[in-house]
Amino acid sequence: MDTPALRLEGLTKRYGGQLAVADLHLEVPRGSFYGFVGPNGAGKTTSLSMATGLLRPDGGRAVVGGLDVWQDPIAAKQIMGVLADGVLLFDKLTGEQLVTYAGLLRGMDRSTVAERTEDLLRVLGLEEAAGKPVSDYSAGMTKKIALASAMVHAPELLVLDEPFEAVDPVSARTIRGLLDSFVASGGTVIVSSHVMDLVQRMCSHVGIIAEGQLLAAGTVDEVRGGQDLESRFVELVGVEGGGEELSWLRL
Amino acid sequence: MAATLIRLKLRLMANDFGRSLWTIFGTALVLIYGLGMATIFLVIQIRMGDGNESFQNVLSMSVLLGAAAFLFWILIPVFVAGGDALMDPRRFVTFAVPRRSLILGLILSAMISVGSVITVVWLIGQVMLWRWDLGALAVALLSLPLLLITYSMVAQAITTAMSAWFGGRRSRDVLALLGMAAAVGAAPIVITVMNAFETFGEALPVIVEVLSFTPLAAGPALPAAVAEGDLLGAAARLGVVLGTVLLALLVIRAALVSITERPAAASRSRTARRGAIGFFSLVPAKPWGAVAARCLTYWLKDPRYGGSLIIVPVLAVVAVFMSAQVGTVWMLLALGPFVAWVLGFGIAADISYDSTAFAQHVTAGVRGTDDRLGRAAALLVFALPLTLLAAGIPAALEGGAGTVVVSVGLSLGMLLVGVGVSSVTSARLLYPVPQPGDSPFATPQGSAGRSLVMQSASWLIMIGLMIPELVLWIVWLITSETWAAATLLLIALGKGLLVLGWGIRMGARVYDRRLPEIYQQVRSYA
Repeated sequence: MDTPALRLEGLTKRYGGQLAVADLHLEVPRGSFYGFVGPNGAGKTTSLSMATGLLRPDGGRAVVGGLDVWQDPIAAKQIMGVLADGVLLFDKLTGEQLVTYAGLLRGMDRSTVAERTEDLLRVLGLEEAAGKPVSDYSAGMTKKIALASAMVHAPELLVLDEPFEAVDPVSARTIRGLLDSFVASGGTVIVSSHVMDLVQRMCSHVGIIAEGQLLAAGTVDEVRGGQDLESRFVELVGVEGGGEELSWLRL
Repeated sequence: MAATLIRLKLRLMANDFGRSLWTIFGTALVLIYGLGMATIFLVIQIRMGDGNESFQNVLSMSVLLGAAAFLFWILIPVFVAGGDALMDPRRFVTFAVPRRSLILGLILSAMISVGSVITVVWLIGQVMLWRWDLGALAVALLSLPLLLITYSMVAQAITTAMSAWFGGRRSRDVLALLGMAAAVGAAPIVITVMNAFETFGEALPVIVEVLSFTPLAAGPALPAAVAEGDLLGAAARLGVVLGTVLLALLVIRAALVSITERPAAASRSRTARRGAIGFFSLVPAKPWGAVAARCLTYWLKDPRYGGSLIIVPVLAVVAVFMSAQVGTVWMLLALGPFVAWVLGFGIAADISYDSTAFAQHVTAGVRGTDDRLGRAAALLVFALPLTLLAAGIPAALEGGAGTVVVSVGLSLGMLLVGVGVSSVTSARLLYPVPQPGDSPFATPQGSAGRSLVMQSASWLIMIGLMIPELVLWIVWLITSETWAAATLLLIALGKGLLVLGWGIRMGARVYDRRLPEIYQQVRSYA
């Protein structure tokens, strides 16, 4: 149990001359609910893409439960469930087909897939929409079905990029409930977000990234040091604009 | 406001050129080809306008080229461009652009295109063609801008109408069926007309006369009517042109109103019963089986997949007619290899079609073999029987056992080689395709050059791999020896299976090695 669920060692990615992620070291302990936060364009998605095999890093390693994502990709991906941000789903499939597809792709047998698909759809409140094509789903339902597809093979680690983006409060609560019970049963979750309030309430650990560099990491209480997380975050990242008023924007 | 829209279009075009060399290359290719054709005609037009040519010949030249130009302006938005992707009226929904300005701006900005440049060259030739008669020359000169605007408006009317009313899958199917019906209907009409006259030369004046009163060629026939002093005819033709413009304007207006002022809610689709997971319950419960089931579902549900196959039934119908009416058999016999060729390339852009949904394969750690095998299996499930039917039935009807063996051999060889080559190229040579939900006929901006080169490359490889069959086919044509036919079939099957196996293995290797790069490339097209 010593090996962390996810360890990033010096991950680096350059786009042209621009450093998107610079020598990122991060350790996500087993059984933690890890919030990965940063302003837009900080390198969250780039880092998580390199950790999940979607983007080849220029340098460094990503290790999942002791397995190197870039040396031993198939084994590493087997114990990881991923919800990538801003990607389409195979949305001509119905919800039930999509989750079944995810399960079969992972090499599971048909009856287990059917059983778990049924459970996931029930827990996520998608039973009625199970037979509808995913292209007809709302944003919240789409995130939920993507989450179901990421969880059907019972991974040890869930990597979720912006799982709460454009999700209504009711769906968000359902997703949180599912993630909480997953963590309580020993699973590890890393979510990226820029909603500090949510991270503070939901997560046990947090890492703050800005301009491709890790500014702070640890348990939520350590990082916020008595302040609320949002104040601490703004303090670390810095404020933009000068609190100036727009003279013409008055009624 | 119209000026703003024109500037917007120019800016979008410039950005597009700046984005990739392929865009410049593709546009340049089209421009060179089009201008080359137009210049050839320009030379002919200048020569024919020297006053020594018979009036009828000048008129025919004028009308036939005009009709061809008009058809191009109609067909290109329907089949090639799928609408002006740069200036999709839907993008203006949230801006309160006054209706009048929007219509004017879109019409004018639609005129900034490669097609316009080529059309202007032809219209200049039209002026040169009529330079021997002062009145006709003046009319040709005056009608130049009128015709350009007419063409642009008709094209704009078609794109806007398609975008407004024929966006859905069902209406596209209806359109395809209508197109097929028109093709079927046109063949007997053309044949009847041709039979009514002794020679084509005799029929031509009548055809030209009829065309010159239709929107197709009323405009280009205007100078002729003036040269003849037929003012009534000139007025009638001007009426037809103006009527076309008015009709186009009304269509554009109605379509734009329906797009920008009454955005439609997404249509509801059927809900499947619980546990009804379609192909997923039929395939082997293996990763490659899952991939196959998913692909089969997409072949049925995603119009982009079937879109490439629309040409097959159209061609089949034309071939049947050709053989029934004129007794031309070769088209019927060519059907098998042709169907095999089209189907074999059915999966050449498979990963590009997945778009970013391909992330699921990446993060699930799908092995290259499973991915390649699943996609090939899904295609072969229906491509094999289809190819056998398309190759076997015409051959059995038109020839003996030898013909059947050769036809089936050539077709199966073509299909297996095609699928094998596609299995490699779809992992290695990616090119932009219409995105999920787009029209199957939409050409993504900046794709022309790249996809052209990629497709030509794979076709060359394929032809190279088909050489043994082609040689044996020629031998059989000359000698009619049974051994040639039998060897052809055996070689086609044996080599086909080898190429297929090699393609899947090779494709899988490329896939495994370049998985993240493939994904990032597909993502960059989205």
